[in-house]
Amino acid sequence: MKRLKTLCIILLIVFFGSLYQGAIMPFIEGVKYGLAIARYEIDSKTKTDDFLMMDVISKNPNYMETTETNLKTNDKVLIRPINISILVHSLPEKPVWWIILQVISGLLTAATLILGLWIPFLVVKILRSLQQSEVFERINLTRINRIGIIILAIGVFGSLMQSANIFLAQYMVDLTHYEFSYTRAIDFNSIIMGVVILIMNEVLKIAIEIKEEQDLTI
Amino acid sequence: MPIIVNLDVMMARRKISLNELSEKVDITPANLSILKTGKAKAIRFSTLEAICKVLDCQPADILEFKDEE
Repeated sequence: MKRLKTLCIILLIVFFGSLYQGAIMPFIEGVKYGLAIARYEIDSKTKTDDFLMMDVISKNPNYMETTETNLKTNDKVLIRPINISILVHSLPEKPVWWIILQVISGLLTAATLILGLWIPFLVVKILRSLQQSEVFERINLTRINRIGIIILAIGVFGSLMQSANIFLAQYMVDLTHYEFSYTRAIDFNSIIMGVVILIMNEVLKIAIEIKEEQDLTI
Repeated sequence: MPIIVNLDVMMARRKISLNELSEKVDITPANLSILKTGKAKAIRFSTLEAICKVLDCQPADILEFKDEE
């Protein structure tokens, strides 16, 4: 039980850390970026489209930029960004598939957010049943199964969103020295984690069946 | 399940109640009820031995195999 409590505390710390890194920080940055875009649109009186956190690779492997200066030495430094955000002027007319993709992307974002918020509730319920020594209950199987499916869905939705984002960006932007990369388009970490959880759930299912058999052995 | 528990029949023949038998066999009435109603998945030899001793019968008097087909 002491080990379990320690693990719960570690989980709590990691959870809040990931919440800060994955939700709060990007939210603050997003608000700042959104305000900057709004200011730009008002000043320039144009509509814009933005593509955030796009992975890029340079068209020429030897290409390096000299746009940055090392303030410590005042020398020009060579850089090659691998992840950039782009702001472009909107096209006057956009095709129907563009709007459809944007809507699907928005729906997937909302679904991912809602599903992501559901996980902590399920985890807390499992931890409560652990504290009450009711681990081998069929309700926990359902909870763990849900967590696995949610993480798998988040992985698949995230991959679809990222692919759609790259596709939309490619339609709007063709950079001089960079092209968009699909190398990190698929969120393998979430997909693998989801599948592993579902496999572990099957192991727990066998354990519960054994426990039930033992309970019914007189 | 094709194994049928005839504990209730033997208890009726020996005119013994569930609580009395559970006390003599030293298992809880709840567990004995599970056995009596056929919900049990397995029975320990030690339990079977105790029941047979108290009811003065053979295991075959309590357990019966009936093919479901």
